[in-house]
Amino acid sequence: MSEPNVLIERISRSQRTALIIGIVGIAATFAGLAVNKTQFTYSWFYGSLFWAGLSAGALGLYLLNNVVGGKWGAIIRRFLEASAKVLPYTFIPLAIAFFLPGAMHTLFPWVRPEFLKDPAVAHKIAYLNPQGFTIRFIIYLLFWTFLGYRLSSRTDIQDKTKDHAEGVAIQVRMRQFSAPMLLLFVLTSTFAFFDWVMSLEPTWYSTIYGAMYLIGQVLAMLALSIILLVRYSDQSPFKETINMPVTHDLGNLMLAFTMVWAYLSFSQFLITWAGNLPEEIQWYQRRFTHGWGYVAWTVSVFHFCVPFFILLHRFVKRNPKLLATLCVYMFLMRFLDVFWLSQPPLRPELSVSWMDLTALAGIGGIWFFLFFQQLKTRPLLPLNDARLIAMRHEHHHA
Amino acid sequence: MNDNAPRTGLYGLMAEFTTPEQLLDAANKTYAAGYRQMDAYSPMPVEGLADAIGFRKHYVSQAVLAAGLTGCVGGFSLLYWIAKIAYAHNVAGRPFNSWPAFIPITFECTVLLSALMAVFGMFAMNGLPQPYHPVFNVPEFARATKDRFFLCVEAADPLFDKERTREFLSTLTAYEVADVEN
Repeated sequence: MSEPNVLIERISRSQRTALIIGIVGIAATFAGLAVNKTQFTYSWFYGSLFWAGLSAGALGLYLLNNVVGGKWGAIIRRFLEASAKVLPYTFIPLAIAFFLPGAMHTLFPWVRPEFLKDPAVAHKIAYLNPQGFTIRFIIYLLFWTFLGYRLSSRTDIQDKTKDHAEGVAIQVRMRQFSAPMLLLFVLTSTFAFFDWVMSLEPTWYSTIYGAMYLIGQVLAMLALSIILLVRYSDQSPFKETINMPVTHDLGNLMLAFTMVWAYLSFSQFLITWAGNLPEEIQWYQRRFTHGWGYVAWTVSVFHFCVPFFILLHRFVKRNPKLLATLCVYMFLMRFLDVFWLSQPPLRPELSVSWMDLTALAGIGGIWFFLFFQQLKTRPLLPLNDARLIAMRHEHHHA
Repeated sequence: MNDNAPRTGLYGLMAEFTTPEQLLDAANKTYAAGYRQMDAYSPMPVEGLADAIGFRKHYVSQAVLAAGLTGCVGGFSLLYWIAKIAYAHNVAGRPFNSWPAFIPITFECTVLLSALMAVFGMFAMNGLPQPYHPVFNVPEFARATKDRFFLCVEAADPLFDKERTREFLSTLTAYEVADVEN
């Protein structure tokens, strides 16, 4: 059993690099706080939103796999669990973004008195107020923490059991637990993204928004899982378990989530475009003018059209290195999409600050540090998962 | 081949296996021995079996892509022609070429033609439906839909020799090797 140590060593090295990037990035961003507080708030908000959303995406994907099953979920389960267990920590940078003195005022128009006169905002004040926002923030934190830790403690028990039937029974109980929790999770995350991102423009609303945002971050998490899986695939325990069909499945899922993302994004656009109501179209007007239009077209073409046609090819999905390269590209595209979704109301003219990059890298560095820490403490593949045992068996015959 | 002529003689030799692993192993060995004209029959999909018998290239996916692109371009062109050329109506001041509104139909046409091509293209390239096939002349073959796995090496293969092929097949853990009459 000396071989897994190679991987643990590799993860420890990545973790050290991540910690350095994290500390430098966060220190630089806080230095920016002294220079330009408004820009700091915008950038910090962007960075913390991305990484919190990534962890939320992991929780969503994890719950989904528990309900629908599939070998692909068993093989990336530890990545999803590690990411979901980092979720509570991502609330710290989010809390800084929202609750630093004056920050809420900088980000959210609904706390500014002049907006309260707007009838489109006035009747939402029962929901959109600092007290309600804070209470919901705590509810999301507690509920999501409970979900992530509860589910991963079940798989810890599964790891320790000696009895095959008991391992299967735990799987069944996790499915029964996950089905209603998936429903509650999608509802809470819908409200979370309403609160955190959609309410940047309080006159505007879209009921599909939460799902659209969440699916984007599920896609990011799936891409990250594939990257890590391929990176670690030359070492035990992945080496003797991974086979071609499962990487092909993951490639197909990438295609599916890319299409769901495009479907939800376009649905929102089409309905808004067809309705053509002044308070609805301003969301798109803001995102198609003053330079933001370039970002919009870049996202449409390079976040959907290009990966869609690439992922149609079987040989891409059957070539792990190629698939992982595409996933790196998709992950970068997610940075751009979240930027386009969250920033135009804050900066009407397209601009990128160095603080955007340091906040994204800094918070991301700490995110990866915690993520690798979670990953290291447990076996990298669940030990008594019936699906993985079957896969290992197939591997021997192949 | 003249389809009206009575079919006579040997169609091939069929080896029967009890597990999918045996079938896969046998298919690999038969292919390695140089046989190309063969087919495998199994009650359920066996991963890697198509590759093992040398069935690597098929054109269904290309045909589906072509049909999908045709549906995409056709659907969009149809709506463009209707909305801009044939029945140009001003709808709430929007441009005639209101492309966002065309996308759902374009998408549906893409899916429709792709799906039709996937089903009928598959049938056409499979040679299905096939009312008569010699393998059914082997009584044991009825179990191919239940619990047995078959590999048939066809007489049309240049390497085929009744005695030597039979000898070869019997080295492959086959449960039984049967003649398949035309």
